[in-house]
Amino acid sequence: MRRLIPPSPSKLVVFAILAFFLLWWVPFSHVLPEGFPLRFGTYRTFQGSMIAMWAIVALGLNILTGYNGQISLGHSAFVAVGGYTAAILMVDYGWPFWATIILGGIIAGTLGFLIGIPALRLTGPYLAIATLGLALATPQILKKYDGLTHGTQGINVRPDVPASPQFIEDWFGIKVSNDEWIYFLALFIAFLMLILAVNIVRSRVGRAFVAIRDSEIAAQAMGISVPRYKTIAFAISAFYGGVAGGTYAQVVGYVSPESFNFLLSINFLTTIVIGGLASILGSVLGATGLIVVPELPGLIDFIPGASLPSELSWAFYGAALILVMIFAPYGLAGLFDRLVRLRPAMILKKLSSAYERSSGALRSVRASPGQAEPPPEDRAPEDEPDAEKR
Amino acid sequence: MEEFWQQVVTGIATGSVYGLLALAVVLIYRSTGVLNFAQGEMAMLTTFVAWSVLQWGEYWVMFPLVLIIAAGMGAFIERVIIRPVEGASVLNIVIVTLGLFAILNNVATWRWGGIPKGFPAPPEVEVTGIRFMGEGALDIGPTVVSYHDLTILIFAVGIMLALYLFFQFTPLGLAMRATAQNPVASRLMGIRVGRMLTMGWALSAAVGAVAGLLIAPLILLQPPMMIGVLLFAFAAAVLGGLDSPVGAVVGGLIIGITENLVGTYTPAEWLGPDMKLTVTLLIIVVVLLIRPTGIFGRRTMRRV
Amino acid sequence: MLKVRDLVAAYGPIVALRGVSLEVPEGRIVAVLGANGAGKSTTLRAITGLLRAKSGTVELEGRRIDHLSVEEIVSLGMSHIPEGRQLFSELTVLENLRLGAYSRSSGADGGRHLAQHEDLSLLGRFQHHLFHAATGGIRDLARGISQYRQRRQDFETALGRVFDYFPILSERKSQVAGTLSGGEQQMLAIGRGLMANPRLLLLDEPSMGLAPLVTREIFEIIQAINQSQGVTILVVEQNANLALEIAHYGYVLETGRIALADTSDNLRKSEAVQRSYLGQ
Repeated sequence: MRRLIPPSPSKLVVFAILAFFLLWWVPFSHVLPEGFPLRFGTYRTFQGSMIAMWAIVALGLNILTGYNGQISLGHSAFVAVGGYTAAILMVDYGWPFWATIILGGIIAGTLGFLIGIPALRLTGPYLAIATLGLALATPQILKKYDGLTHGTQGINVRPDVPASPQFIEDWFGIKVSNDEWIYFLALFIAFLMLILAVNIVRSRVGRAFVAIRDSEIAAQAMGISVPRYKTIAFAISAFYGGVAGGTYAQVVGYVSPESFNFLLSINFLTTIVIGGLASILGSVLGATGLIVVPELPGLIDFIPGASLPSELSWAFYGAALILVMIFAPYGLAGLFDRLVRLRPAMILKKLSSAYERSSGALRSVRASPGQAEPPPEDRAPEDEPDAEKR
Repeated sequence: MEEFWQQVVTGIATGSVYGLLALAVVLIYRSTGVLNFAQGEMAMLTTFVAWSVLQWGEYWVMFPLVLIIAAGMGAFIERVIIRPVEGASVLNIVIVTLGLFAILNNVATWRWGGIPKGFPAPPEVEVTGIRFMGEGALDIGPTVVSYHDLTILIFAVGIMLALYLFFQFTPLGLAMRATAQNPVASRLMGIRVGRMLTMGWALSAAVGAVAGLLIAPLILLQPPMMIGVLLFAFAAAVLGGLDSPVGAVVGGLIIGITENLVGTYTPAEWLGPDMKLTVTLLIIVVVLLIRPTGIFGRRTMRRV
Repeated sequence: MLKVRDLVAAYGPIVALRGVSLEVPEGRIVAVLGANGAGKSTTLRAITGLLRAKSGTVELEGRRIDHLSVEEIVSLGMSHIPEGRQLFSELTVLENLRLGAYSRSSGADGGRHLAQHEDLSLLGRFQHHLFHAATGGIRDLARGISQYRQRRQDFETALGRVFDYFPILSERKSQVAGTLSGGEQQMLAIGRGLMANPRLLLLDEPSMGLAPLVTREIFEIIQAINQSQGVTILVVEQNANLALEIAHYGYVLETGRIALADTSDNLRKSEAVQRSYLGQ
């Protein structure tokens, strides 16, 4: 067991604020009077659940793609497996919800392992398109075998979603609504998966993943069993997808073949790249962005005089993606990383030199997917070794 | 038996369409190593532009004009949008193409509206008494082939051959291949790498434009028209080998034919037409497992 | 022919060259020696333009080239054969050689274009540049068509010469470059560099990864290139002995600075070379 190092005071403050925000502000701020700044209505609680859910997928996909370098465009399939397993078990067989989530994860994970085996033969874009095929096939398969899946009409889980359990009222003395309860549930599951992910990434397994990503041949030469770890990575990330799917059944309360189409898969990939590859924080930020960014055009209405033609909001989303990739090649987590290291005065200077560097000169060396460290030239002066010293 | 050949022939027609767009995808992949997710939308946009041009011009005036416009658009996109991220990881560039996808799709809907429009097939052309293109169909043996389908096949194969010759036998084609393999060495040869990339994108956009022009008569001109085709184009490109133009077209044809045959000849209860996409994709995956870089793909071992 | 003065270059925060000055007289072979990490390859890359120098000047035949792009510098008659060869490993031997001749076919105006440049004001230069960028492709094509036959002949002559130096390349014309042996690859790299008929050849560690016999053979050919064609050569090498055998002058680089500069005879005899070569 690793020794627990107590976090620094500033970190504790940050954690405290975060805990307050997540545990009270998001679900309960609607009790505050209307017009209170940033008061979150009940819809926000639902969105919070969604963020938690997608964060789980993002964490899993990042393990596979960011840390292990295998590009998967098929994760909507794993989420579908989790979601449908949970829905079928609850609605048709009366299973308790927590068991369905776990089983959904396990079945998805097994499927992921099985898919990981042939995936060993494929790399890069070939793997990506093969997994995209999986995502494309999923809705068709779900519709076809309707004996099990209830076909195109989907499965309505809502009536079976547990109402807020009694112990919450007993222990905390407050009554939570169904949505709030689901929010806490999703948050809790996401939290567990986050801890798990951190542990995986920092363990030998995680290091093996990264070694394989950076150079399979070198990893093999070091005695790492490449096939074993690559399939394990697939299994783990599929497991995450399945758990998220099981959670989906709770949060959304309805699964249908079209809920899990290839666009979802593409969204997942976008999420982890924008959030930051090979970064736990990145996965969470990306998932947050996925839900928050479509809200932004609405916010612009608050700025007097500015307005966004709503028919072009999709185009603005696209432009945002492009701009983020140009100015934050290591994603939001990379930005965060750089900002945290800098004194405020340097931020402006860095922004302008970042643009200078990004446009124009072609670089002959491409970064491998998921480098967690910013390139050397981005380090702030106080971090640089004194190169002139002799 | 008649049914079989008819399915094959129809498959060749749809397959040529996938193959044409796959050609465009391969062009960009060869020069930048990136799958351009906006390929379909670029083609869709140029087809809309073509529709506007057709309001005052004739088809064969429109055709070369649209190709030039498409090439210009491709060059612009590379220079302005792709260039800033060219040195970054491949996934970053893919996200940029996804962003581009969103922009192009939205702009097309905003400018031309979402209501499907009709789009004409290339009009009749007669060469030494033999008729090419135009409306109507031809009887070949036990099957019926429409002129337009024939047109698509001819264009797909023709462009494929032209590209093959271009890359193999011209200095510029050689320079573009070199740039794709080793940009640093290419600069040392005096090759303006940036210009090569821009040209690659311009060429790719033009090929995509042709694909759009030829598909629109079949599926109606509307903003989402190329999404399905793009997915098949990716599958075709990957099946044939991402660095092979020949592979792209052959891959497309295989997919087109397989799709139809699976739809017709598998037991409807278990599989059948509802599952033809799934089975086709499964077949592609199986082929990939046998040849991990596609049928004609060629990734030689690199020294570590 | 080549004059480098006080060149300072860095990789991000790490300064690799701290004011390097050297001179390569026309028709001579000059060697740059030094231990690993001394900055030898960096020097060549800064000269060619692959790396932007922070300060200092580089002059080729009297003309400043330190702010030009790689492509422009190469079209002025300088060939850089990089460390590790950097072949087009999936193309054939012949295709690699063809690419070597590429700058000849499209860059022949490189010099002229730049000469016109110098007399113009900043605005004029901008307009000039814009014109060339916009119409470059078309003008290259036009020039290409009109000079086709002449260039075809030049190409054949250059190819013949390369095959004279390296007969094995002629045998393996259609072979894919990545499948050649190490020595053959180095020969191809040099041959490719020669296809542009350069007046100055920059070689970065030609002996790297090669067996001693092959290395000797290659160095003999390098010397032959200098003696028969009068090509000026700047060779960067770790193998000091071999380099000094064929060179007229030598420089020893030590952590980014020139430590010694002398004729190759003197360098070979000096103990200081032994010391610098091993490094402190």
